[in-house]
Amino acid sequence: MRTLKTIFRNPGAALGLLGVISFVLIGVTAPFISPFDPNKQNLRAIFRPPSKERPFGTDQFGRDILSRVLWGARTSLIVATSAIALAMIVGTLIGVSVGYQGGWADEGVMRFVDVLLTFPDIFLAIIVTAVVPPGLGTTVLAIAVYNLPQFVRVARAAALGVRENAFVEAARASGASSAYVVLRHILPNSLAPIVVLATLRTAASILTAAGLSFLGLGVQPPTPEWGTMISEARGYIVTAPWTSLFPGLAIFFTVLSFNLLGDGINDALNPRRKAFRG
Amino acid sequence: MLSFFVRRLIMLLFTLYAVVTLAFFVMRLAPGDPARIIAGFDAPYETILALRHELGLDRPLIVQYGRYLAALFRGDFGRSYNTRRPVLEELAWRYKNTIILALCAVSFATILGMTLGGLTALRPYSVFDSFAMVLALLGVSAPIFWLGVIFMWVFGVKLRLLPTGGTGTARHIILPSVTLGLALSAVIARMTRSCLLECLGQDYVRTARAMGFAERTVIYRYALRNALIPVVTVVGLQLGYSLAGAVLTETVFAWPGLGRLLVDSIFARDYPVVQGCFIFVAFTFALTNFLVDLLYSVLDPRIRYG
Repeated sequence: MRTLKTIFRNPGAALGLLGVISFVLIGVTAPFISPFDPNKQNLRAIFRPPSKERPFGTDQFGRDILSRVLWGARTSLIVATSAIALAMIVGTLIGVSVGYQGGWADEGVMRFVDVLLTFPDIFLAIIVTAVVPPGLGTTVLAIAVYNLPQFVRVARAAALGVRENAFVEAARASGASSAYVVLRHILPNSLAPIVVLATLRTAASILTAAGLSFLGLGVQPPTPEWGTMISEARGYIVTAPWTSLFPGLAIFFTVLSFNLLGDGINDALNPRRKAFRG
Repeated sequence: MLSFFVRRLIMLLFTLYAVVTLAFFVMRLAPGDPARIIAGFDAPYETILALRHELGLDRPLIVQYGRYLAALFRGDFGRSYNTRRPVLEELAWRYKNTIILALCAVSFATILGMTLGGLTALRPYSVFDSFAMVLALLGVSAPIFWLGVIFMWVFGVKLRLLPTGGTGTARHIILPSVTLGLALSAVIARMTRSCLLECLGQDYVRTARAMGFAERTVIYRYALRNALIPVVTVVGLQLGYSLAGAVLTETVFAWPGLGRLLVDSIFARDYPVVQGCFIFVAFTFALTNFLVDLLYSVLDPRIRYG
């Protein structure tokens, strides 16, 4: 509770939280608040500049850009939350287990994680799309794989710390199985840093997912997705710049909100070490 | 020091071997028969069989893997399924383009980032500081590919100052490297600011001031030198990360680099080229990290790896 208070004494973090909440709300309510069907084409109304009726204008198929941006929030929300959840569950289970067990399993898994970390950022996600045909599910998988090594590392480190506690030894001495000790004692006590990591990774995941879609390797058209929208629109930058402008601003404000919130959480948890991302 | 070097070198080689293996087997998991892709979908079965034999795809997987490794040792990355030219030939000049782009971007980012970071640390919590740090936060939040499109519109289309794509003259590299460099500079600025601030609070800085050195001397000789160590590390790491950003930047500005080649080869299911790209990227990234580690111990004599 004190931590929460510290976080929101920082105006940036409060603003970030406001942005994150709006993003989630828009994502959830997109079908109700969109003025038009995001995929409804109207070839007689293509490239309409922003107006009172169409605040963000229309694209090359006459689709309403505002509606597509709102629905795009839904796509980003689905991709980011499912990918982070997947990476968090799998990564935590692996990390906590090998951290508790130690030995060759730990050594092997950590060397493999090191190899995965040899691929800078988006490349790990691209590897997945090289194998699995692109689509919403593949994008989720790709973003999850790209986050996995981070979660394994953090979960393992947390488990290593928890393992040394007396209550773990007590559980073991009273005859509990390894699986029971891991699930009942190690896991619940390792969760805090993992949850923080999940918040911090969301911004990067939204950016990477949009980047994948921009490359054509992520969410496929006609699904409204911000990266795909920019990719389709960039050919019309001379005649209809608003088609690229609004989806980009949407990514920008969403990522900014998550970054502000993440910085606030970081500052509150490590008051001596101010936040910076490397 | 030497044993540390050897250990890191062995780890580097192991990582590269693992990357090569991972790339090979992951690509083989992919659906789609390359022989069929090359021959076309209506090609007769005999043609496909012959092609499969020619490409060595009819051998057992483990034999293909062994032959791939053996060839790699001779510097042979295989031939592209599409152009039939050696992969190394296809990769080499694009790799050069990507490295040029990455170096320009990182140089730009370093100059901008360290200047901003240094200036803000000297006037912490001032209006200029808040302004610069907000700017840095905006920098890490804007998607590179969108920034590229917007820059293209403003500087290429509206102002007609710079070419919007392709290569050729030095002017062609300005927009791509500024686009790529902006996000990196934000990270460097934040790092420089926090390190310099920390160093300025150290006892030896107070001692230097107490001994009556000029403020310039205190900052340049004492604080900045120590603050630079972590900053150099971050700059080195950015070089690796700029490869990731290069994929997006190259696509926006039609810059013929490795990233664009990778994406195109994935669409074409050109496995040998995809493998080659991954190996080149992982190699560059691992090598930069290795060099940064070494540099770190040279810069800070207190760090002596056992």
